[in-house]
Amino acid sequence: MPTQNKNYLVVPLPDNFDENSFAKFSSELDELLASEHIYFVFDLGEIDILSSKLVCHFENIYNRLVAVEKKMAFLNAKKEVCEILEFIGLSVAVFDEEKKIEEAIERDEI
Amino acid sequence: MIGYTVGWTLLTAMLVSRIGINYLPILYISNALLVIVGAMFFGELLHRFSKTKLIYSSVVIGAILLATAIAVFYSFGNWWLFFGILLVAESIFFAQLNILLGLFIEDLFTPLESGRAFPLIETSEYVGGIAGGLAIVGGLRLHFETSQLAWIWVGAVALILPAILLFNKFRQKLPTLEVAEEKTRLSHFAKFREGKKQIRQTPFLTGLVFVVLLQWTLFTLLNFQYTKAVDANITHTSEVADEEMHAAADSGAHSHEELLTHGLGSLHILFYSLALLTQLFLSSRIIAKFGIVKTLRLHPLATFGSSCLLLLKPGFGSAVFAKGLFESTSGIYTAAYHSSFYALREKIRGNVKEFLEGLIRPAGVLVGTGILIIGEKFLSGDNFSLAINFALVAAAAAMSFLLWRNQKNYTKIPEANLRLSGNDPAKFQSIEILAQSGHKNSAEILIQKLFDEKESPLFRRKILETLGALADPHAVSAILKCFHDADENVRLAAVRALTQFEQLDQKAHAFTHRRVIECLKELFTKENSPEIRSTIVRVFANLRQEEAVEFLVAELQNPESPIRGDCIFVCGQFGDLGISHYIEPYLRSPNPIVRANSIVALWQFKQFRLRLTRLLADLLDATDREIQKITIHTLGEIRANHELPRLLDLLECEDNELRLLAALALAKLENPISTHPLVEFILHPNLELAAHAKKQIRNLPKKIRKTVEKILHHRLSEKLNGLLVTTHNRQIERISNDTLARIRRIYELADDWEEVAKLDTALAEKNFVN
Repeated sequence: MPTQNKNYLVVPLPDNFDENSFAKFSSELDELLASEHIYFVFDLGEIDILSSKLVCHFENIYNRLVAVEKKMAFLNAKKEVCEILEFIGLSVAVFDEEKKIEEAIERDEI
Repeated sequence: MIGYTVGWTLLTAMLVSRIGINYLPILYISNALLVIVGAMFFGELLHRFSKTKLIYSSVVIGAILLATAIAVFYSFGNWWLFFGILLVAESIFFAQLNILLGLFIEDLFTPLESGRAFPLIETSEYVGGIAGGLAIVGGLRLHFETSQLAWIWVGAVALILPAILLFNKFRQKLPTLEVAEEKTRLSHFAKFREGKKQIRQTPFLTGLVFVVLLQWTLFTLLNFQYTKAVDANITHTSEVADEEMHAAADSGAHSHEELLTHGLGSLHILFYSLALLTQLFLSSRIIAKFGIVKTLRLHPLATFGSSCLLLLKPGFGSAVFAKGLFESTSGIYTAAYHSSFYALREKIRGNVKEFLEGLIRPAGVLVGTGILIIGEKFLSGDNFSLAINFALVAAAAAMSFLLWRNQKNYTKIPEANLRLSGNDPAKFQSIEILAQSGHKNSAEILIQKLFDEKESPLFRRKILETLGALADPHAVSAILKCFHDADENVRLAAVRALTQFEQLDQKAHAFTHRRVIECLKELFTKENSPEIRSTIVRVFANLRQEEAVEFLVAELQNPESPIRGDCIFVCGQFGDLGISHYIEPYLRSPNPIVRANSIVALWQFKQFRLRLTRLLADLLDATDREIQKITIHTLGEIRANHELPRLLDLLECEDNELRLLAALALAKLENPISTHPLVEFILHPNLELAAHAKKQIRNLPKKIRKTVEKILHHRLSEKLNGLLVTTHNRQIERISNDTLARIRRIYELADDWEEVAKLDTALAEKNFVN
């Protein structure tokens, strides 16, 4: 279940999440994306690696959010995942602690 | 070498101090005669036992003799017996051990490798020499008696066994098969006769006989003059009790024998240090630059110069200088001398070496000693010394002259071996020998054989490799002709040979340069092999990049071009962001190969990666097997670490081709999990798959490549030993054709082309007989 906060929505990924389960997750997302929140933070906790397909899926969400003037960030991304994001060039803010998200929003850093 | 230094210094010092310098020639004669006896004895044994077994035996027997000598000395105090046993151990067992070690080392390298390896191996002799010198000086400081120093000799000799056992454990060489004729037993006299016959038939060897004779005559004469000078100096310093004498006395040396041992030991450290530096920094460079025969000439020329000095200004200084220069340059000489044996066919090499080392070498010592004895008998004092110095000058001059005359004869040996029929291993070695510097017309000789229709593609490939190493612009047109060869590997070898030519863009070769570019373009257009195309681009880049770019862009812009995909891949190898202008349009190509190659070419530029990731994700969705293959290859090319789980899954799939591609991609990601599957594919019964796996190994990261090669060697070794155990035989003639074919495959996979050639010849002969 997504955790709702004042300014942002933390979206946990389903258990055993991988590129094959993304289609189902994506359809559930539509509802969430329609909410009034501006910032959508995806908790990547369980993900060890971002494959090309996953990168594309997240990029797709990113583009959908940008189209409706919303923003996207990642939470609890592992070091390897951060490296892949950096390597591929998907510029999405990454947080290791939830409390830092609020501060970043205040400073308009997402 | 530690043992030799300690041993020979002890023998010399004991003899000179106990019965006088005038009896030194007796030591030389005894040594030379015992070496001949040893050579005959071991020559016989060499046909019955392997070299390794003989090395072990001579070490054990030698060490036992030394220990017995010491025990005899302490039990009975018999100095003569002690001296006699040491002399027998040194002259029979350790002198032969030296020859056996030489033959053992020779088997480990090819002619070209020997130019680099032998100087390095020679350095170990000097390190041993220095250590031996230090052991003598250190032993005397610790108040050891001369007889006790023999224990150092025993210890050093005993260390040879574990050193060889350790070496054999880590040695990366497959066991080899034997040809029956090599096992033909000859008596020692017959063997020497055979050696003599071979020498007569080969003008180079006839020259070399006199060279070896003169080298050891020089050694004996110079050693005498040097020992005499050191002895005289020590006697003189004893009389005047100068500071050096006191220092030596303080350090524990009391008797004249110990002072002489100390003096000779100290000078050994100096000489061997000089020789070590020469070996480390000059030897392999000199051999590479001047070739074998010219390098051999350096030693007598240097000796000639120092002998002239000794003649004009005799004394302690000039004698030490001459001996120092002799030792320093003899390392270079020895390395070149041993390398020169590769020119001979393997089956006569042992006989010739035994003849030269076991007979001619001691004969040289006997000639030198003869001169000394005659000189001593008829001359005295300064006149005797002057005569010896004159003999030194004459011998060095003669040796230089003989070597100068022998250069042409040396070239004639590989030239003659090239005329042998089939895939005789001697032909392959001859190609490498002709690649050495110093030959006048080696390129012409090789080109002539390159177009001999009877020659195998394997042989032609080896010639092309050598022509590349020679980089003689006159060979270019011959190499270009091989672009039309029916064999793909020959064409690849031809293009690879051109990668070594770096001087073609000079004005002097303007037309050759233009011709090369034209031929490369033509071959690139016609060629199907991606490996050849990739190599062509490397030659392009070496020659002139503008030419390559112009050609590639023209192909990219030609909608009819069938090689667009390859051109795109090749463009990526330039690493220039400017290529994106030409390649970006192909990211939308309907052809998956073109699209995949465009991804690979542009992946290196970060600004494209997100877009390329999308395209890659599309390719990953494909269910078509051909597209799957292209995609896996692409993952490896772009080092897609983020696709590691996918590749690991593919490594478990049923489809062999997909599994091989996944293993190769993982190897490019430097993932060690790929190594064992890759080795399995190289050994795969499907030859096409195995060939592809083997070919790709060369393109893998170094660390992975080395691991694969190591595992492969281990597996091949297991397989070969398994086959040899089943056949119970190592003689080619007694092994069935089917087993031989399987063994041939193992050697082929190990890139041991000489063994492949040997088996080809044997198989052809067997088929002919049948």
